Amino acid sequence: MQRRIVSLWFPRLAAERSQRANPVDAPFALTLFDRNSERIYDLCPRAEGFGLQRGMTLVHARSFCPSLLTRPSDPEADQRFLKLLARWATRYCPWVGLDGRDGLFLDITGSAHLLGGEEPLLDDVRARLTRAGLTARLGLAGTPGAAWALSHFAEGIAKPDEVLARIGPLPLAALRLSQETCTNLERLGIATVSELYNLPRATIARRYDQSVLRHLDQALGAIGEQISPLKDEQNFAVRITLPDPIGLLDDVMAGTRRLLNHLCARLDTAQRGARLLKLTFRRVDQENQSVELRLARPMRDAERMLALFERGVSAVDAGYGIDMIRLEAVQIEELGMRQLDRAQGREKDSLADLITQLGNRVGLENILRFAPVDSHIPECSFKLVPAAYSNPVRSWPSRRPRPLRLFPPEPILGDGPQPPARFRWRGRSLTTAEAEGPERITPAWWEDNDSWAHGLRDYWRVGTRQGQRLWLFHTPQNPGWFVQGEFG
Amino acid sequence: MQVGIENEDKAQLLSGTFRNVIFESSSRETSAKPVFRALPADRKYKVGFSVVMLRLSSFHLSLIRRSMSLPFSSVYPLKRSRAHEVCGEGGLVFAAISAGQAKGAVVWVSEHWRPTVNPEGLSPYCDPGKLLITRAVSQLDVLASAETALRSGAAGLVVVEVSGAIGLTEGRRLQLAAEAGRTTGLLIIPEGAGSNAAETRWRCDGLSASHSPCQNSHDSTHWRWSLIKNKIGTLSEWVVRWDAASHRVIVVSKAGG
Repeated sequence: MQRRIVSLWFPRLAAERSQRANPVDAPFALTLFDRNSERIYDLCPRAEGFGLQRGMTLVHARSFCPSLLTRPSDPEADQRFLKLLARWATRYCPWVGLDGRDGLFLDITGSAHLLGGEEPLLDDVRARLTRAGLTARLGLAGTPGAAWALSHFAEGIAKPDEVLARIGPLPLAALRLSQETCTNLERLGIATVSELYNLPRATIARRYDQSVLRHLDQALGAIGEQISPLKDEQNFAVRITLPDPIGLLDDVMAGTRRLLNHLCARLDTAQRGARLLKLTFRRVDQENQSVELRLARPMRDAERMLALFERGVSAVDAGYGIDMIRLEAVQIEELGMRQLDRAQGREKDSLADLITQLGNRVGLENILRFAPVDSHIPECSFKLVPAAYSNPVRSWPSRRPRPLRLFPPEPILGDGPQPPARFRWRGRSLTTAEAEGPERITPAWWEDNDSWAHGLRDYWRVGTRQGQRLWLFHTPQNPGWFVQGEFG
Repeated sequence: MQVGIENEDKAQLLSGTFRNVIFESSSRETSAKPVFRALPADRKYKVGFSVVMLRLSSFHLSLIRRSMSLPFSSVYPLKRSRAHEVCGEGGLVFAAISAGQAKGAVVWVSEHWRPTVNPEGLSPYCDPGKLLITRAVSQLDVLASAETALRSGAAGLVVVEVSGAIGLTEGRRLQLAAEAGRTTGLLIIPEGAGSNAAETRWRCDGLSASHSPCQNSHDSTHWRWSLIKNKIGTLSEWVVRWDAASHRVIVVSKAGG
């Protein structure tokens, strides 16, 4: 089947997007800070009437048109808008690709008849876009190159056999050549596509690089050109709208259950698991209430997730009633098929559920596990990692006896290398009964650690007559005694 | 000693068959009169217990303690599905040992400003990988997290470090949650801050070398574990040590006995 491509060009995409949201009745332009000054990024036809152009500095433009209204531009939002348009364009054909920053390619091969032919299809596109407040230029041809040339330079339809006739008279820029190449060719007296076509191919290839010939061949269909459709982003969101508002907890939970069942079925087919869920309730007074659920492990088990949602949902204020519930899996992760094992799996699941429940109260980053660190410095020998994103450490390295509780060193009075016989600590006077040591620990010179500024440490395990067992250290390089831990 | 007796049969009490003998003495008078009053074994008397408790001095308590032999194994390991409390210097060790003996994960809830337990110090008693540290902002959050953890039943033991007093309501809630989730709870409390709802309360103190019964105890330290509240039995105290090889608590002697 003969390929048929529509090129859709939005010459004023950015300005019109801005005006759609916030119309202005004045010469209007969008500005972008570029090359050390505010410049015009995009503008409306009225502003163009004053002689303004894209790329002009704003100061310059204002001297032409003092009544010019401007807004800062947002190229990223424009790009998002173009993607939305691409999604909209799939109403005409399943194969839609982006073309630069302001255009779309629609591969309507075999789908034009659905709207009654090519002409009615283009009319329909144009009518809908005009209604949406967008200017669009349309070109239809057998190749993306030719369609692009038509949409940018001579709107219309090129029948399969008249491509050269339609694009022949167009300037060289219609071939998507770079500005530099165009100027260069124009200097040689070649101004149109047909003039280029009539030149011997070998001379062009010798004089310029292959790109000139490639673009020409692509336009004429001698070389194929790919249109890359947008990646079909999987959207894990479901919603339910209700004919009458609901407000009872049981009803809301029943609605949530239905959504969860749908969502989990979808996650199941995609082999994914949800990590962060957002449940939004729209009330009849248009107020939105949302409940977030952070999960300790990716999962797609509707019943378990429902139980975890219970606490959040019960805190929702239903007001005059809820008429829409939307559930979205905001964060998803890969979750393959899992072998079911009877006891261990259930235990793991219940622990993950517990982490989720606790995490929803105190924050998932506050549920931690110990992980060993390879360091001989006592306070640096372990770290705390979030339990939701780590697995328990099976084997813990065994080192010398260490206190059960470590705290920042607290100075005590004492001198000499032997532990003091009596000392005061935390308001109590203690008498040393037994002391074991010293264990010398040297600072890690390759690390910058302020608390080790005193240098070497000689650690002693000191048992007091009062019953405490403390971890004392002496700093011989900088004499002083400190308490750093309690054995309990 | 006053014993309130609701019975007309006082004559028999004075004349009759005595079996359970209670010594009477005050702590000041050290010369105890041997037999004062007794209760007939075959008759049921309703005793005004509160009166008795008020008049009991510490000396009486120690006498009662000595007279009853409460086996350590009946109160430790801690009774499951209940919330227990521990206070004193050695409370952390008590919790660490209990954590090591619990099956499954151990949830350790504390306020965020409190330094966490040192996993290297914990490793002789308990595998640090078992621990799930939960750090809450306030005591309210600590108690609520503890209740959630106890109720879920996913953990073997829930250790809660509290900094303030616990009311009867909170204690009872934890108790009910422990029963519902069939999980053991252990609260590390400051001295005197416990709630009446606790199943048992322990006070743990380190014993210095000179007080230890074994003089050659270079390898292990001793603690005095006193049971200072027990809902379903009597009180007692023991001197225990940790045996690293067999990984269990060994009772060295009954304290004071």
